[in-house]
Amino acid sequence: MKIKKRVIPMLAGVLTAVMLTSTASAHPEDYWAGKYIGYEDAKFTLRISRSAQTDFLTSDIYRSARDWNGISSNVRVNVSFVINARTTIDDGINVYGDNLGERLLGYTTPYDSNGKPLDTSIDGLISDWAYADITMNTNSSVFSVASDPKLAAQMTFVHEVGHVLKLTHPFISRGLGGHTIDGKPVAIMNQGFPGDYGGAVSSTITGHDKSCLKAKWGA
Amino acid sequence: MMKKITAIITVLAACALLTACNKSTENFNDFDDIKLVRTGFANRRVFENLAALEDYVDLAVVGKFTGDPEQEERYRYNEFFGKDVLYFVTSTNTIEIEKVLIGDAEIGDTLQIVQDYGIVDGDLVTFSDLTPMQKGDEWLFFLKKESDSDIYFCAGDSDGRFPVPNAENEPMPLSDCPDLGVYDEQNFMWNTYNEILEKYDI
Ligand SMILES: [Zn+2]
Ligand SMILES: [Zn+2]
Repeated sequence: MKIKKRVIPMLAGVLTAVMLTSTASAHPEDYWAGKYIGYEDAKFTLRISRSAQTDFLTSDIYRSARDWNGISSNVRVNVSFVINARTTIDDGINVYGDNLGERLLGYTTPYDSNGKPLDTSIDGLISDWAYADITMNTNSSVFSVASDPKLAAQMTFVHEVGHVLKLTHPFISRGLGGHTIDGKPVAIMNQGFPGDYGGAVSSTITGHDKSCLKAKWGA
Repeated sequence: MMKKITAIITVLAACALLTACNKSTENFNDFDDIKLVRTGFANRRVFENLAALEDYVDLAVVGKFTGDPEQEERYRYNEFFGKDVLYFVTSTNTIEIEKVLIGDAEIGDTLQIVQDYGIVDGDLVTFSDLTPMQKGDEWLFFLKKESDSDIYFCAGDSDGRFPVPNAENEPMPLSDCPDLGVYDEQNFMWNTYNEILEKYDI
């Protein structure tokens, strides 16, 4: 393997050239194509399973998913808590909890119609999803190092619901460090803890998140 | 939830043993015929520069994978599909430390590293942006220890594993940029890597 000791990320320059030719409002890379099989809109109930309800991950954290309401007339998020194992909601998006160590805060998985996880770098980006669910990390030590652990957990859940609504990470938080249109937009859909990247990771839904949601599902 | 422990030692791995004696002339690879499925949109920690990474980790070491990964799959019953569905998979491997940059460790020590991927129904299913752990591969690791076990992980996933210049790692056909250890260059922390090369002699 040959890697030079000082590598200049040349691709960043290419991206800069691309961004100058784009319009400032579309942001098509900030959300995915496709909807849910059999649905035109995104109106669903988040079904919070018992596994996701812990002393730390309390009901008010989950209820904040309703912050996505009132932005697009085609988006409506309800939150329902599973009281006993028998409670079922047919069209619910299930929210589970599990101890994921300290590597992940939470994640959303899209599935094809056979229940297989979709590739989120190829088909998951362009196809209709059969279903999606959310897994929250019930290992509270992953959040405990945040300046406000509860807020970090709440931000994570609202962020994951954003993925269920087909929104993606608006800036590349890693190697190339650049959103292709407006640098590092302040957004809840950025990865990390609230306040990271000079405040670009937001604990609340921002103007950028709202414009992406409306671009995706209509005003 | 159903847990299943399996080793990723497949027929292909057995073939690898058979060809090991003339490895230098064979361009053999375990991952040639495997379909890559990158899944799970995550929220995870991010480390925007070397200082943030150094502040977070327990260890920074150069090490080599010394074995084949052990896999754990997690399934749960899904009402929508009416069956058990895979929701998470991890692989754990051992590294032998060759150099210590940060932390309390000695050359020759071994430790276990977990990554969130595995081979399921013939596909490589990954929740991680890091390429799989291959026996003999050498990397620079920025590691955090799980608080409830002795297993370490790469900080922020792809924020915590970097190439060792001049390492001779196994080919990795699943990635467009295998030398960087990620599937996609946009997940590689070039700025941090350049800082590391400036500060440390690796
Ligand atoms: Zn944008
Ligand atoms: Zn995310």
